[in-house]
Amino acid sequence: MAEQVSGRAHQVTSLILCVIGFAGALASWRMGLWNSGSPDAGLLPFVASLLLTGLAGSAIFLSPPETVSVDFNAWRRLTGYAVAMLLFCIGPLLVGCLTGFAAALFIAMSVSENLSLRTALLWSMCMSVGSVLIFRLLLGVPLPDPFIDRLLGL
Amino acid sequence: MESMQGILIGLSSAASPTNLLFCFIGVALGTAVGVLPGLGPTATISLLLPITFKMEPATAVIMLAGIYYGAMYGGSITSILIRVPGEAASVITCIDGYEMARQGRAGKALGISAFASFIAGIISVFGMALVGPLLASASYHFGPVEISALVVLGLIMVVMISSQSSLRALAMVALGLLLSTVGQDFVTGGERFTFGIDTLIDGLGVAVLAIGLFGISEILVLAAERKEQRTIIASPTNMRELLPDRNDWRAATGPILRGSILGFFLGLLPGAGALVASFASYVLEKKVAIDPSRFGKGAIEGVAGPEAANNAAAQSAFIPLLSLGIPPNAVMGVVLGALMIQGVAPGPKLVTDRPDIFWGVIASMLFGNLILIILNVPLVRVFVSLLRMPTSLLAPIILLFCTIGAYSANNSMVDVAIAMGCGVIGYGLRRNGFDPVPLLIAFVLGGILEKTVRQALLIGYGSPSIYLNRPIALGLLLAAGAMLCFPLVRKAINRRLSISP
Repeated sequence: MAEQVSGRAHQVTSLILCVIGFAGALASWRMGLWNSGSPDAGLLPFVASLLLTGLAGSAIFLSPPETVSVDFNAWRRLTGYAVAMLLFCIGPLLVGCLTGFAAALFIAMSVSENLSLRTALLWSMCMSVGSVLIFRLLLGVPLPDPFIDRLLGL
Repeated sequence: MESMQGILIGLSSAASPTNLLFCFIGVALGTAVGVLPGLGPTATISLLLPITFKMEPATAVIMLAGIYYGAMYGGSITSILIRVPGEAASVITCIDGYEMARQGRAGKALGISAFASFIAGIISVFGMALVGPLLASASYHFGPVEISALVVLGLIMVVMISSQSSLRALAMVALGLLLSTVGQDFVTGGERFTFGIDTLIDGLGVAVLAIGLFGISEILVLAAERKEQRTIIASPTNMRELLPDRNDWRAATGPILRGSILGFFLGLLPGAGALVASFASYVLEKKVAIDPSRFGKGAIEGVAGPEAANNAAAQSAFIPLLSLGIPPNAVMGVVLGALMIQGVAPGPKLVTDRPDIFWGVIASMLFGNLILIILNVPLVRVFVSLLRMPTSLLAPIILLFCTIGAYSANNSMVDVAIAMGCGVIGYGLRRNGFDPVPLLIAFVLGGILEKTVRQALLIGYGSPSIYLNRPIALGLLLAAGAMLCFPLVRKAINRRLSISP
């Protein structure tokens, strides 16, 4: 069901972009725009930042875009995915990719996708082991895993 | 003669066992992602970018091209069987394709879709062989001044592609250009926007950015806007069901030929692409039909024409990318990124400097289309079975692949964090009307723009008037200006017309 996103969310996004542009312009000004008759390191980022500030600033006054509303279930799914994404980032460093991936997948499948705990556990373990086997052992992608490293004597 | 020689070079490159294997992998993978909901060719190509680092440039592009045109066909399977287009370009196939399936002619619709894609692909390859050398002859007139003007034109065209407002698309172009400057400046060696993070000294990776903006943000969109699973209304059970009969061929031949030619030319235009080509073909077929009332009620012409057009356009879209260095859509933007990672700069000189890549990719499409038809006619049931895979399993698995894809770009967990961050930002931008496609294309073109502008200004002793003294550059910049002003002028005229009695 398409409906208009709240004007504030759209305006806040434009405002954030505008602030990024302004900060970028200030930072690139400090890098230097012109040196010995030729462009310096800051010229392109300065021009891009100025454009971003102006365009995003003007976009604040545009009418909000049409989008699909986010209900309670969607928020639950999004929150689950946010936790899973965090686990994907830090899990492999803390407990190794095998356990880290399995934990992240388990959260995504059980919290976000509402699968039963048994199904989620089974699928997350299978996918985690499968991906480590394919990518680390077969394709040689050095996925971080202290336990496997110890097992392989690395 | 030059084309024939080029085709021969291309055939010898494309027919090597490695290239054939990766062409097959690309086409099979493309068909699968076209069928699977949520994972489009842009996200898939982004995910596979790190794998292409170790490949030869020609092999990499052959595989990525296979994914793109394979997805075009895969998208039509879902359009016909469940009325959900796997790809935007297959939207129009839903109308008559689904009606045909409801009437028990699903096999015929899938069959004619495969044959139309095949014929259009072959016609498109020959068209590309004719157009390629024409652009090659122009390559000698392109220096840094002209290339930078061409990039500016390309960026304005990207704004025209965007499905959202031009103002927001331009803002995304500016953000893409800003992000392209992250890292070490190639002239002074000074760090820009690195915030003390070592990984950022080499700049943001196109693969990491694309995985975040298209792969991860797509998962978040799927989570926020979950649609109920559609049921497959019919699935062909044997080969004979897929083969169109004489009457079907008689009705479909004209639309296939017209759709192929129309699609080829529309694919050349940045911004038009496969989606516009399929719509244009449908409208054309309805106009030339003796009985237009049949359209929407299961007319085979309504499947054959658009399917031919979208495949022809998907292939001819490689011409602006390879010969001008201008990506006409997001998929081509990621392919451009893949080429640049390999140290190959697509553009006017590619046809002459690297004929193995230019002609190899074109010739591989001959094999790719053949593989597509061999793969799809007997194996259509295998692809149909992919439709039964629930999104609840698919989305977490895609997230896992995104993580591994981002990590393998530089074997760094920082890249995973950047990709996740880009995913959240991409989702936020998409929800608020900012299309990430112009951002990615501007990011890829930003490096070329900065390098060529600085070279051009050095040539002109620091004076921008050099752009006024070069007719090609001036023409390109004027064209960019006209394109930018056109919607404003049209709006003003419309307003004046609505005011005047």
